[in-house]
Amino acid sequence: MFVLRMTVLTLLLSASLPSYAQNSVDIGQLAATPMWRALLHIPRSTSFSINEPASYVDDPRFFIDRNEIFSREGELSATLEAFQLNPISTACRFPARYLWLQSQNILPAGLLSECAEYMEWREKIDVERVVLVLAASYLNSPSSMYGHTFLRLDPAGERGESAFLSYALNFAASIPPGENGMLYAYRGILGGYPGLFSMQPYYEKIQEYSRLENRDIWEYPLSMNAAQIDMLLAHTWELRDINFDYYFFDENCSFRLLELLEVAFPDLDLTSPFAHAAMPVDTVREVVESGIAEQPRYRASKRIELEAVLAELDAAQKAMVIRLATAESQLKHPDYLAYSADQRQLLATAAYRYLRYISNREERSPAQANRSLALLREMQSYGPRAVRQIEMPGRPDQGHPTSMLSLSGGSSEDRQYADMEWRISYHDALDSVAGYPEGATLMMGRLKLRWRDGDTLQLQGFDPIAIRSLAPRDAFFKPISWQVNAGLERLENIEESMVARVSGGAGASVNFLKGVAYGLPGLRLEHNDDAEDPWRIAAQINVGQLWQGNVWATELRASYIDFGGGDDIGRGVRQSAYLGINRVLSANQAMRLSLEYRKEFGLESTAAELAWRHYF
Amino acid sequence: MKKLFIASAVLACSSASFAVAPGGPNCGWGNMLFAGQSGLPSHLVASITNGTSGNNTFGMTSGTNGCSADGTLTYGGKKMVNVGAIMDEFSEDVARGDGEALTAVAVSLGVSAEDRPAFKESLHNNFDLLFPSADVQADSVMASIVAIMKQDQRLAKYVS
Repeated sequence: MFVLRMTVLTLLLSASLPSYAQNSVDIGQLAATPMWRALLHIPRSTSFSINEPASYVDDPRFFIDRNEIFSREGELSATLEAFQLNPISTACRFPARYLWLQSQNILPAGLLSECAEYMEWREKIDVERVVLVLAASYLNSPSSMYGHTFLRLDPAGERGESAFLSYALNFAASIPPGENGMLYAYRGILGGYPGLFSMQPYYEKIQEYSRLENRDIWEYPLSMNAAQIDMLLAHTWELRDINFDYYFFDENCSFRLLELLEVAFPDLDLTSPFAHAAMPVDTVREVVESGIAEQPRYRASKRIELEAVLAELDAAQKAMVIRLATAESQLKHPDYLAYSADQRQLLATAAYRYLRYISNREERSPAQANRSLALLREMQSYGPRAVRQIEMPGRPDQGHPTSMLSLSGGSSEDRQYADMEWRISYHDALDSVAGYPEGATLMMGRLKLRWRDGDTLQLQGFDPIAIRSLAPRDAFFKPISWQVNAGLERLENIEESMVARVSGGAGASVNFLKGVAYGLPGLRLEHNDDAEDPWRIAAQINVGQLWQGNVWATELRASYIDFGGGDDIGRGVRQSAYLGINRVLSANQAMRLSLEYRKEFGLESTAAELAWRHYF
Repeated sequence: MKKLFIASAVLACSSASFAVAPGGPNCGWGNMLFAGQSGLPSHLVASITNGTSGNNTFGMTSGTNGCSADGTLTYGGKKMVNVGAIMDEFSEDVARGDGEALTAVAVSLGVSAEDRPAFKESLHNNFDLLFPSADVQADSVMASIVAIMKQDQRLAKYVS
């Protein structure tokens, strides 16, 4: 039956197809359309480029044209030729190209119904809605520092009512198992990995992000009609197992998703702002601003859920939660039974959540499993309980933009100066915290220039990278706080030496006075050309107190760096104290006041500075 | 060409590294409650990399590791959400009486929207039957769900 239908169709096609060749198909005009550009992943041409830009796809299997030099017209001619010779197999391999050419009345309708594998896949996933998903930034993993985006595909009908039945469509580097994070970051930046689209159940993503990594997830439904979804999925099929080089900054997960969306919306320009770097959150902002995203849904991480339950408890109840999570025998203890039924259910829920939180990353143990079940039973014994709705924090797409330019004027030891600072990305702890993770500082590419009266312009500092993660500890959570810095810094000593330094440390922070107090001991390696002995290493400690907010933020901090004794420049102790106050003026502007006292090798200096910060 | 070779090598080793006997621990109907990280094989790679474990490229075929790659398993001829892979979420939803994992199981079983509250209530009330011990495996949980539904006049029609 199938063979017969094939034969008939082939006959029909061979009769009808050759006519298009004579039927004035204007290859040049067709190849110039936005849809053909989007289907071939050709970078949007800039006014500076003269040559035809090549495709982003690095895999010869994606192209039909065997000509060594890529061109839109060549690929289109080869595509039309392939459709003429092998209409069905070409349509099954390139369903999006087919759908588009068919919509242009160049190819006959109905070819895709002959593609068993493709149709089976489409039927199985049966997509009715597409959702853009942003997993929040996660400082403890180099690949996820800036967050991650992927698409969620929701099935039609009742199956769309639970996200556990949806699929995740993800573009990611394909990495050998066990590759470590630093090597990943290095190779990811330089393009050492192949990147592929892949699909998996969405619940695996929920388990990965909200349960294991405790990252919040934001889900932005996209307004797409059936034809646009059809085109998106058909093109996804074309990219099955097709290799792109994966780069961390520009050609990453988020950039590839925008390209995919451009196939569904060929007249929308989503990609051109991201030709050089695509921060996941910026790409989400771009999609929201283009008007195709609806109100997002917030999926709190397991840790946030646990914190929300704990927030309802007093100190004695919190202590009881830990007792319950440590031994199920406590469920029979008079102290526990003294609570009301409603409170007992809440305590058991908190204890269960806490136990799961601490044992998630561990191997399963019978004792821990039995205790978990005992707590679940206890929760259940009081009847159904509605989940407490967690208040939605600031939307990441409404946070401040990730690049920043600051102009400041200040005075240091009676000399006035003006600074200009440029930060490529992303956020520091004094910037408005709305839409950003609490306690996080992540800066890449920060350049500071200083002009002083009677002096020329000079480089004041350059930091390729500065990360600080402050995660408060309490009776329930025991995270490590840490920091890493690398770059150039000008000292306040007589020589005004420019030193290169790498420093890092790990310590702890706690909630204190409605803010966070921290202590971060560590080491500092410094190179100073002005010194006889240019390389040196010091022990250092940073302590401070940080109050973050959506409008006001303040940080008080002191640092102590000890390079050891000796008379050489750079030996001895460096101390500093700093007070910074940041006031948000609008979505992309802020003022910052900084006061600093430094004592470097016995030389004291103080500085006061006021900065206007513009985010873009 | 070299790149392609690397890609296939990557796929090959990652599949191999997750090779688990069909129905074995942490996957499929043999999965137990509270498996922790070991219950999430894809996470080992994914945690540092956002990467793929290689055996789930398009959710078309069942995975080479014996786990279902597309998130579904067959139960009595019916395509079911892989209960073994969502046992932790499912058991908590049953204890609370509602939740996405519980809804997913109801929808997979074809329980219509108007009967879903009855389904959730019935499972919630039979928590001890569904989860008699922490070592209970997904297939026996599934069998209990069917048994409970058969006993319930509102739900029997979905499993007859």
